[in-house]
Amino acid sequence: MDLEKTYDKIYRYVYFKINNRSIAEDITQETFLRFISKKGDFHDSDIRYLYTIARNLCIDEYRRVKPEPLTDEINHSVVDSDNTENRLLVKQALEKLPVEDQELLLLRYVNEESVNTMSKTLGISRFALYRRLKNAEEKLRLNLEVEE
Amino acid sequence: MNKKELKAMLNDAFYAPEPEEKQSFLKSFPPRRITMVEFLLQQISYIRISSWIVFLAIVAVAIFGSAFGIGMTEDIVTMIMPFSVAVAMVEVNRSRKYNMAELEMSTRFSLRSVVFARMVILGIVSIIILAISSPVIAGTFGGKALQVAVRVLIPYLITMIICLRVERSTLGRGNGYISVVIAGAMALFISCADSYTPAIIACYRELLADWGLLMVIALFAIAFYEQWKTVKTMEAFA
Repeated sequence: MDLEKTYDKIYRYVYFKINNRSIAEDITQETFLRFISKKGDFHDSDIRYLYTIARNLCIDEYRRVKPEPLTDEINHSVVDSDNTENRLLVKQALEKLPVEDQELLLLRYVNEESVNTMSKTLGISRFALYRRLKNAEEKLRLNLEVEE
Repeated sequence: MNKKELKAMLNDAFYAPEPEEKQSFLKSFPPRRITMVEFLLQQISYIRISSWIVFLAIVAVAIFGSAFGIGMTEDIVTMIMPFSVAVAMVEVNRSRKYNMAELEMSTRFSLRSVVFARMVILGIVSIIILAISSPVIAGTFGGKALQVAVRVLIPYLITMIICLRVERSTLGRGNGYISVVIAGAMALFISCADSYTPAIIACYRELLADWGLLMVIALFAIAFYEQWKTVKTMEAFA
């Protein structure tokens, strides 16, 4: 397992859920430390456990503090972008999707996780995953058409 | 919108700012223990494509030569088999020359273990080549697979022993491709021996029929000893 790549994936996943860089980073590191204290070593198939730990830590974080809908960091990132308008459109289209669908799209297309890893992480069958992914893509396309 | 566009778009939309403490955290992280199999598999990926092409070429010659009934197939395989030793030696040399710079985790493994791993991998590949070629040749041209293997193995092992000895010498350390010259000389010797010294070759073949297997075992033992010596002295060269 490429540790740096895995770190980026978990961090991106946590950031998607928390929307705060420093908290996302803390949770990412906590995820790794918890995993290593239990299992001692990493293997390629272990990424799903990391996602599960990260998700649980995010839930703990939600309970601890009420999440803010939009942080300054997001606005900042948008301002920095060359393609601000386009990104904003996609972001708006994504935000209209249920969080579960957004999570699916992130795991599949941004983190490039395999269907096998995803189905095990989310605790659903491969068939259900394919169907949900297809639906999420379809909804995103429709939302994009509306936005445009 | 195709999948590629969708991916690019989502990558952009799920933007996350660069983590600030990633490098310091990863540096403090204990390196992952890997198994011997993982280590060997990792080393396979560092072996150059040109080396695999040579190995595949030997198997291809054996298979196609047998398929088309080319009478000299066994001789050709015997002649080109020493080049697999040359390829292995070039790979070993590469590890030494670059001080494993190609290894991402060079601090975790000694040069000795890397060289040993490569020798093991290339040795296994050579055995696989032999295991494929010998029955194919024996099946087409008659005879036993073991006899064919013995005939192919003897020049191969002799080349290996010479290469390992020369590699340890000053001449070998100075010239990364000396093993290719040795393999070429062995191939030339095999091709000329039949024509120029038929009596000796006939004698050699008779000897092989009775003592071939024993000779191979003895040569294997010498080759192992030479490999052990090469690996042992490797740290001093690094």
